[in-house]
Amino acid sequence: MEGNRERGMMESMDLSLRESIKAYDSFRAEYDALARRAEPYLNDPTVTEGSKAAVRTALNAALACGDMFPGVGLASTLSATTLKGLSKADKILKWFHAPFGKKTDGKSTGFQMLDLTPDVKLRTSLGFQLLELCSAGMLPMRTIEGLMQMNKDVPRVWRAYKRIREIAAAEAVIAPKVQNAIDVFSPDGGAV
Amino acid sequence: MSPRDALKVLIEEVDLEPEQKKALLASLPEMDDAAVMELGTALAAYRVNQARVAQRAVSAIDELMVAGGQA
Repeated sequence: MEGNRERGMMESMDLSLRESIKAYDSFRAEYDALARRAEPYLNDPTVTEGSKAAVRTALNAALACGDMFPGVGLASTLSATTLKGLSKADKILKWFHAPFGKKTDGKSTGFQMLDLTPDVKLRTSLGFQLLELCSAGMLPMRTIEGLMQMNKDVPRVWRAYKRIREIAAAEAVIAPKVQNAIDVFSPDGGAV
Repeated sequence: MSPRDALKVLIEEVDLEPEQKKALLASLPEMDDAAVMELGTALAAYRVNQARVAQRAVSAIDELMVAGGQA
């Protein structure tokens, strides 16, 4: 009796394990297919740059909303300037550690990714910080800094958008030679 | 175009890994006619589906561009 119950439990465990493995395999296949389909987009430098610019724009817009409230605005400006300073320091350290006469590889490090306004100079950012402090957080200087960055980022997002369209349009066109090959196997349903 | 030639064109066209492409092209002469037809039909359906999805993406992007332009 006890043995039968144990065997039954083992069988149900084995079944659920097999089902889990099957579900994982199916998920993995879906994921691989999606990753393969997304690869031409993700490997494109224009699209990568545009994606980063889009994320930055969203975060800068959120910070600009926060900047409307005097106390929050001061904190957001201070944190953004600190992150910019860290990013700049990291860039300088990287330059010092690079072999003499050679440029750095240009890849962004973690600190550099934290800088939400990479196109605004550090001294400009520090000037804004000073103005914000002088006005006791009343002036929306973080919003102005964010807008300066958005001015550079929006065209990047637009370029990425156009590039995504170009890649998709290239995939949508089937070359005549390939269409002939498709017609050999599916003469009726091959047309797009 | 013979089914074998058509299959060769499709293997080169679809986005398979280079090793997979090489292996499929190497095994092509040994494949029987039924296997050629089966693989060819699958690859043809895949390429047609890929083109349809891309076409839909282009249409969606165009619509968004028009909406963005109007805004």
